[in-house]
Amino acid sequence: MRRTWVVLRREWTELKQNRFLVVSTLMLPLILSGMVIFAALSVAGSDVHPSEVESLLAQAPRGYSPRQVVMFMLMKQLLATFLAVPAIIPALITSYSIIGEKQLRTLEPVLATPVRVGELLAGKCLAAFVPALLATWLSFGITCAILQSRLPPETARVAPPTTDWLIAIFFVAPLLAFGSNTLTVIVSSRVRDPRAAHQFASLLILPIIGVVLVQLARGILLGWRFWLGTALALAWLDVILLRLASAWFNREGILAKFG
Amino acid sequence: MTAAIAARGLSKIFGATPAIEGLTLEVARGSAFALLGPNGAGKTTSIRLLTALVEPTTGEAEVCGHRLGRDNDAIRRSCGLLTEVPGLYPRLTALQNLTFFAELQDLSPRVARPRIERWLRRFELWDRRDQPTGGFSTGMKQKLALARALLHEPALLFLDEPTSGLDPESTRTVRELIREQVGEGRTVILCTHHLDEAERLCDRVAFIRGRVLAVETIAHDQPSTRITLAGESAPHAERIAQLDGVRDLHSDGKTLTFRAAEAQHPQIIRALVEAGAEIIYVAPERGSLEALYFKLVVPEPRA
Repeated sequence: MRRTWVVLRREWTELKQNRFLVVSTLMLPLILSGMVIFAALSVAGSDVHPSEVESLLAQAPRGYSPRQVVMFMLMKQLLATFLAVPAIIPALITSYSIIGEKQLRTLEPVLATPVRVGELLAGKCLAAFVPALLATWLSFGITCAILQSRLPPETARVAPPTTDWLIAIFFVAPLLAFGSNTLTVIVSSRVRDPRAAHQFASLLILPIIGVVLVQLARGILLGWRFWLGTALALAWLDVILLRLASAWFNREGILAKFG
Repeated sequence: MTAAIAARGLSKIFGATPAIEGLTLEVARGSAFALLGPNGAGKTTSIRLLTALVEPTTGEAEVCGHRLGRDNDAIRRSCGLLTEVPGLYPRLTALQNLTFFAELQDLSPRVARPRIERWLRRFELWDRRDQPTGGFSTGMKQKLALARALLHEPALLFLDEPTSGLDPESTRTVRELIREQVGEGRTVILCTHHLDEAERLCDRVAFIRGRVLAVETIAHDQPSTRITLAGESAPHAERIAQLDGVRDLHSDGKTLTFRAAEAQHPQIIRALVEAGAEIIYVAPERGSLEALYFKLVVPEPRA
């Protein structure tokens, strides 16, 4: 565990030196938080005609005002979008780290030390997982604080933190970040070009866009049950990915694929 | 005392491609040993096998008294490795790079700090300790990588092309360091394309090309000498061969090459003059290892 911490610290020290990566990593939670805040404030300040939301009313909880319904709908869409933060940040950091090791051939001297493969991979994964989760939780916390302090009570009731947002942020987000990270470790070790690894990282947003599109196209609203189910599915997927990565990686495998 | 390396029939086959087969070596502690061979001969794979970086397909070995496969962690603690490419983290400073590796080797800060300072000063990098290594010259990177390999004071040092791409000054620094390490009782395994470097620094060499072709001892105390005559050398060869202390005598056209202690040279020259030979010059033979390399490693061109 001590060597895991040593690897993690080295990863972060190097990460801090790469301004482009730091900025691109910070941009995502900033943009997505901004989107949620802007959309929520816009709805709160606009006039919404009852006929516009007639069909939506059927799905919204009874007793909601038209403004509350629109806010309710909007937050449902933005919740999925917000999960891009834990999905993409670890993929960006990890793909950069692994491709960097490949190009600079830095892994052979590391593997010649008594560091265990598990310690090395854990250090690398945590170095990406922790900032992703912190960025998610921090931006969520700030978003909630702004919304709850700026929205009128009528719409603030419907805005985050609601049950589905809380489940998504505290259950789905960590599992998503973990899975995204493990998948990126596996994929990045197979490609040599950093652009390919980053392109893969950007592909991770597709399932999230898929959830948004399903909601829009089918006119359905995904509630807390959906996000709880997603968390369970992700937990199962993460176990499979972890087993795959553990079985696949050994010193020789890393040297051949990363070195 | 056990050997630093005792390998018996080590092989590594990647898929269907053998990288090295039947590697059998014994390297004495406190000696310098060179692995010589062309690119792709299996030198780096041999090093990776002996440093427990890759698992052997067949064979067994003991490295610093530890069994390969069973005591891999102990082997990694006992060995220092200078890889073919320095492999430094370019955004980290020289100090950060060395501290990272010291921590991976479980050196406490109290032990690591003075060692890091000693090596950085020794390699004249102390003033640049807080600069990212990405801006370092090839020589500086190589010296820093050497310092990294030496930080935990390993008993066995593997150096893969340690002077590759270095200027003459840095080359001399590295070679002096290798001599110094052997003088302190460390075992050095040198992978190099510079045959003269192996000849100068090492006690024994192994010629490799997919397998060990031969292991030769370098006689530093009796370097090879060449005498060029005005006429054919063959008629004089037998007489010289009979003199005490003369060995490895070869006659080729007008030249005689042999090994003998320097104190024997006047007697040999006198014997040649008495036999009527006209001596053009006497010179130390350079490149005897080179001749052997081309004989053993480089295949004869097909007719």
